[in-house]
Amino acid sequence: MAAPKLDFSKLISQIPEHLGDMPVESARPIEHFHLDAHGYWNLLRYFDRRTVGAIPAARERHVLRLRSMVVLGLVETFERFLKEAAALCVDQLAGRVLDDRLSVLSVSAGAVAAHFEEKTLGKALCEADTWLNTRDINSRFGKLLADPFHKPSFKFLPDPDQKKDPDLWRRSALDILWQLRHSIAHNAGVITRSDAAKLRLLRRGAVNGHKILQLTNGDVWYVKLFLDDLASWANAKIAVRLAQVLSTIHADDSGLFAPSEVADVLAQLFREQVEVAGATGIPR
Amino acid sequence: MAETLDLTAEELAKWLVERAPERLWGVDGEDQIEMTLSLPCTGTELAAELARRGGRLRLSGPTDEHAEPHRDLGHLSPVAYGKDDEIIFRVAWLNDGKEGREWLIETDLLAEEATRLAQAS
Repeated sequence: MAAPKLDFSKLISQIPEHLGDMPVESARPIEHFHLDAHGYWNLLRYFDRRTVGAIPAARERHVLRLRSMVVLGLVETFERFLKEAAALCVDQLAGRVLDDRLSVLSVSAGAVAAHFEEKTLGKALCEADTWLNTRDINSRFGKLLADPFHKPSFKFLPDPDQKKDPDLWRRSALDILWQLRHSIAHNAGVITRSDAAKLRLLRRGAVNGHKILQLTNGDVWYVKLFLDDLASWANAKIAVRLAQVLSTIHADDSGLFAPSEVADVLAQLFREQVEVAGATGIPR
Repeated sequence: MAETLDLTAEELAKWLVERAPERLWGVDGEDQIEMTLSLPCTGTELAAELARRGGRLRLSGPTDEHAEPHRDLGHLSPVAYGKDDEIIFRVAWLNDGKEGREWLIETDLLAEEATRLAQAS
């Protein structure tokens, strides 16, 4: 069938006008993550429940595609969580410390200009990049959350050679997910021979190349559970470290901010109990 | 006409703890709970969140005249849907007696099955 004669130039250019307001939880990364991760899982569940009795071959084909889309959505929801958490760190530290920590984030003049009115420096610095590579993520958080004028000492996730680190499993599982996300996003779920070689190294086991991912409901569920756990763990780790850095800054210049106010802000934004220079912030 | 039951969040929480504490429960359409909890979660966890929030709820039973209410859920049977192991509640918050938007509390059979498979492997 020939495509209907429509003004595609106009219709496509109108798409960016179809917008809704950002939800309030977008200011709090962990809540934003929970809501959207659950939304993706609910999408799969909704389809599963409401297509009982459909023609099996068609249902299976559709659900296979949907599972890949849901995994992609879950991983990208986690990526956005990382960006939003980093943006909070930037907003809390910029103006309170004068070292070069923000240089680890690439930024264009256009991005800064776009955020100028909103005064959301963190978003300007963190939104532009992709956060889909553990080495880059470690480098960014390490620098962002370094002690003032010191080299990075904070390690977000362990390096692959830190065999005794109890969190190494998180790093290993996340690296596999980044690679699977790549295959879904860029190769429509095809595990190319190159992807297979990378996956083989990451999981230390054979992976056949030139195949297509056929995810099960269980696969999607385990991704969801893993990322739920990882996001909560990361959120607490970042919040505690940010509070430590702010405490160090405060020790150097106690007139810079009131610890109780900053502790309260951090507790509400991260939904975690934190201590800043002896003051405790508790989520309400 | 659908049967309805008004109760406090604490009463529903108590029911969850007594009748289905280990089941995995999802929520669909209630953003405040969905952003707070890692869902689906156990009946015990959902109960704690409902009790923390407090307030009054209205549960509405099946509207379809052919739909059968759930059989074995105590005083919540007339307002629950679902076949076999599945339990679904249509829920709305009540504010000054006025019913808010409906949302769902439902057992997550998909997650429960996947968890069983993982534990058996």
